[in-house]
Amino acid sequence: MTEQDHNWKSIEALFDAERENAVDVDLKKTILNQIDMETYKSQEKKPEIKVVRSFWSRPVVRYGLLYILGVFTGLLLFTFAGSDFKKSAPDTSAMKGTLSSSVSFDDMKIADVLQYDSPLARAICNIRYSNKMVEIRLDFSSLYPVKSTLEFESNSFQVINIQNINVNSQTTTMTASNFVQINNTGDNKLIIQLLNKNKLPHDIEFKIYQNDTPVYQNSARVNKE
Amino acid sequence: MSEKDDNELVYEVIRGSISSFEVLIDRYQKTIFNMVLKMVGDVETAKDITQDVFVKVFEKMGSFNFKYRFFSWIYRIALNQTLNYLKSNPRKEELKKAEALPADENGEQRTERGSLLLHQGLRELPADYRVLLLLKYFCSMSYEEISETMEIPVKKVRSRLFMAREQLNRVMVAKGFFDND
Repeated sequence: MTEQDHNWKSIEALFDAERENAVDVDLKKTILNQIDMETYKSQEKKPEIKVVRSFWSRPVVRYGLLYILGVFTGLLLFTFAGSDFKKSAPDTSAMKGTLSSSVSFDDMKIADVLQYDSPLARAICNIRYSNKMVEIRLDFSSLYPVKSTLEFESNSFQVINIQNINVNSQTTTMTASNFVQINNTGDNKLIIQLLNKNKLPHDIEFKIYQNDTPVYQNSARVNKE
Repeated sequence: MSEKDDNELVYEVIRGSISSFEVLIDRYQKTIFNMVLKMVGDVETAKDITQDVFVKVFEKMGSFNFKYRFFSWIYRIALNQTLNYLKSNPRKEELKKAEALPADENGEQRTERGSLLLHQGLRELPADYRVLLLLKYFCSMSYEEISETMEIPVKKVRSRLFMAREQLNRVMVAKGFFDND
């Protein structure tokens, strides 16, 4: 054991003696007298914290009101702005590439109704037009194959669609840039739609052929105004 | 005497039991008082500080964190109170002059002289060394308990305690405590 260790043993013994001879005190009364009894009482009867919301600040009420307000505002907007909505509907006639934007056949301007009636064939060619489109409804009946054409200027019109509403299998249609050819057999109904390119007055010629010779030829003018 | 552990008593105090607080006072007043006494060297001051410590403990009982041990909490409060006191009240009077006592005393005188020298020696150490020595050798705390009380790592407790021992040893040598050995 080094001298330092020996010395420390002596000091430690002093600490032990100090601990054994520790002064006894009784400060309990003084401490209790010093304690703020208000603090004690408040610790003793700590009130439970209750969160009481007022009626209007309850979430159910607030969200309910918000919902009702939303519905009411929606109704108001619908009532007042609904009519304007119809009025201010955009002019779809200028929209490209949509047939649905075109006016219906009944609302179109009438160019002409070309009719042909003979033992060879019977045809009613109803031609109407709007700013956007020309629609031709052709009722065609023939016992034997009969060729007919609808001719027009390719600068003014362009075939968009040919709808065979009631066409038998022997009937065929053919399109080119400036005409539509129909080889008809039997009773058929066709709808031919053309794009009205420049809205200038132009004729659409309807021809019915027999042995490649026109037996009927008539025209209807569109964009008359 | 209640067999309940400290934290149970604290819980009961929070629930309003003043008698549980009395048990805690009984359990800790002597050690706290004596430790403070060794720090400040004056009985009346030590009493005042001890009282303040218990009042403070009572007031702050509601904020006690149950994951800690009560003794480390109360010792920490006591140490802080004492160190605050020492800061604001620099030493005014020395203890009895131990040097005045003869070195060739009998057993009783020798103990008294040793005790006085120890008091003086401790008071010459920096406060944190004094605290460490008291917690270790007077309150018989383990390194872990000191670490918890002083909120410093155990490693630091060991190294600082080593330094504190060395310094106290030197002081005691200087004061002639070992002269007759």
